[in-house]
Amino acid sequence: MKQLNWFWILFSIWLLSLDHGWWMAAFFFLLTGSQRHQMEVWIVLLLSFRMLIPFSPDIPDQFQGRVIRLYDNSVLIENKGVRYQLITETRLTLDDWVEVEANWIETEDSSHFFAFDTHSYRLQNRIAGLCEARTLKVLQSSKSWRGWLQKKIETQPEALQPALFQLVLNQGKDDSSFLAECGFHYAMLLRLITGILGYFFKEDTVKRAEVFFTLFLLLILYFPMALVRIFFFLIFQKDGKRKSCLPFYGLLVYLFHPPLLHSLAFLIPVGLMLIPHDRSSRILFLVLIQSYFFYECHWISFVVFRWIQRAAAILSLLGWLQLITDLPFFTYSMHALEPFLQLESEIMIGLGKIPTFLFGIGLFHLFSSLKKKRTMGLLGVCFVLLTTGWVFPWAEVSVINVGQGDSLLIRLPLNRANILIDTGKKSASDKVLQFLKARGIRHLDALILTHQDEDHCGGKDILMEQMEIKEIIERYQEPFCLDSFCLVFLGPLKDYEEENDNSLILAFSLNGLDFLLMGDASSQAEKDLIQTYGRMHFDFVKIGHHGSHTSTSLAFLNSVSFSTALISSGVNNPYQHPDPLILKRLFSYGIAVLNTQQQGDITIGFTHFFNFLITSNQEFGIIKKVMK
Amino acid sequence: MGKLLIFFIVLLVSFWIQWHPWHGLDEPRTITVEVRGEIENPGLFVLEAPATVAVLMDQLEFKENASLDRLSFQQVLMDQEILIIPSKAEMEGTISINSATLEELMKLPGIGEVTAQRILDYRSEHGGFKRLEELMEVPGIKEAKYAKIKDQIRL
Repeated sequence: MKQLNWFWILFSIWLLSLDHGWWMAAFFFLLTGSQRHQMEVWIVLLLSFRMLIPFSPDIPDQFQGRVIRLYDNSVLIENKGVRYQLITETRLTLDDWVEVEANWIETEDSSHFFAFDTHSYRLQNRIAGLCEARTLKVLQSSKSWRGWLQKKIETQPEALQPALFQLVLNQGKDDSSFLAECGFHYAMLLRLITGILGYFFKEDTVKRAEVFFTLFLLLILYFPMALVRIFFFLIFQKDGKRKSCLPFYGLLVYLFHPPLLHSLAFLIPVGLMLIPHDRSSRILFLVLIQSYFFYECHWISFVVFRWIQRAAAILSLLGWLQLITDLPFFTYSMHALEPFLQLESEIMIGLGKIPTFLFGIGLFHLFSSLKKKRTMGLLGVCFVLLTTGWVFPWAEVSVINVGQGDSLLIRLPLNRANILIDTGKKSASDKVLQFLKARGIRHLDALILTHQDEDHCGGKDILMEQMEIKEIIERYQEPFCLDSFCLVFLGPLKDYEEENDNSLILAFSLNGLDFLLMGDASSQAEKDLIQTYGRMHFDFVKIGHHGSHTSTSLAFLNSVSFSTALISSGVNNPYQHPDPLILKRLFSYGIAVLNTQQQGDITIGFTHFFNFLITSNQEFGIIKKVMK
Repeated sequence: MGKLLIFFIVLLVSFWIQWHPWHGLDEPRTITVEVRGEIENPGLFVLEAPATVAVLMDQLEFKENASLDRLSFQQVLMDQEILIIPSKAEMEGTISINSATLEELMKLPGIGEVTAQRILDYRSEHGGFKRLEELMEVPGIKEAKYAKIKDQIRL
């Protein structure tokens, strides 16, 4: 067993106190397993004071800054380490110095477990906020090489532009390309060039040419971190041992561009450097990375990973040639190689927060030099757990944050049965699918649609395409039973004129907790419910119609007692659900409220010993059964 | 082994820092009710939610001529509610929405036979009104109509 440097451990724990700090902590901690240099310790100690300043940007009415990144209809402007995202129609060039009078836009998104989380993305990338420009002045137009290249690319046919931006300028216009950010194609490109040069010149000359060429790229492209990494290892690697310079590289990144430590662009190359150099380890590492950052693993991506790299390298070389010589190299090759790049953009979707522990364990065993067989075995188990959803062995009821709309998932332990109640709007079907896939759910035993409103069954068609659904229930029927679990239909009790009143009212019991789901039923349907069933007790009630004042009448509250109300409503929704009057009523009746607007995704888990609650805004609680 | 242990400690600490407990259920919810009118000790009363009038009653000292006709013991008090205890004289001539007949209800302004019948229906369906405002849950009675009749009714 290797000795541990206690300082590093304490330092790691301290780093944890920063947002998402455990990444860095794990990284440094793992590095210390093999490396110990007193000097580094002191350097880190000194530099870490930089991180003591938390990121709490103010949002000024007016700001100046340099354009550092282009997106489809917005740009990123940086000034002294703080970034602002500006939505604009004006064509700006990279490295323009602009002055903006801004109207700040509030982001209309609450948190999710698995879907893209705007808030943490902003924090990680030090983006202060999103704004529109009242006035936009270009104080000094771009004189950099980057700007020149951009203008050059913009003269090319429109269809080619995104790919050229990605491969030549290292700017994914839609921000989805991790390949461009990791810069693997540069590495390949350099290898290609040195390979060609190797035929003609001596080794020393080739080495020097490589360094020179990298430096040249660095200057032109304004120091993308991917190239900095390559350059760094070119200069500092001794006898081919890249591992020994890793801590220094970590420091460098930590010092100049801390957000990078969280990103794939840092983790993938560094991780690949650390793990044993054989195919199986590499594939497992990619599996783990994917399972951490994305809601599902796509097996193709790591099998063809190498080939995507190569294709991108060749394309970027041809892209350069086309830009310089104006001959259509790129245009032709693009057709041949496009499928590869398509694949890349298809598999790299939303950023999420899948349970870290699994990933951590895998990474730990990969990095620490355990016996290969054991590591492989362990990772194999992890992989099975992830893809089958057995990572979450407990039963759960989740209110999926679909914005304005409803979607609720009931899952029995080990995916024995999955029932989805409503799908949310069509536009939210992504979020539902991501949630299901992240839980390893490939089929639904039942899809229950309470009624035909768009915000309840809009995603039905997409869901039916993507999932195997055994049964779709849209009408009142006898209790629906699977295993020992029964879903009871309480309503609608008659035909109402109002469409909302005809919505299905469901009740079920899991592990001692009783649930009532009111759908969109209004006070009229509530009245009939009370009359038919009399006084009732529940633990959780998803109150009717997203908390609108037409539901949750006083009579309902007097007859149905419950301790927690679930509300599914969107941030800043035009109907202003939930109604303040209803919230006040719930408060006065001593009922706690969980609202997807604030809590994001809400999951209530059931284990053999206790029931618990976790929400995607990082709250958790043990549910003690208290009836009031 | 030591390394593994420390790894799990790090994991635990990270969990501890990133997650925070939800206090929704244990959170003490107190409501404030203002009581005025025919009582000896008017003022604000702080009660633990959910609180019914029966709970509040222990703390109130009624004057001799106070009338309880507008209160139901089962009524759940709302936060920041204002209760006005009327005198017996004021209550004279008012109509009890919990016991009035169809003809009596129709004497109220703006209440015709249809609405009066609906009130009766609601009463029989829900076992009576537990607070005056509940009248607004009867179809056909909105805020404007309720404002007109609220001084002429009791529970």
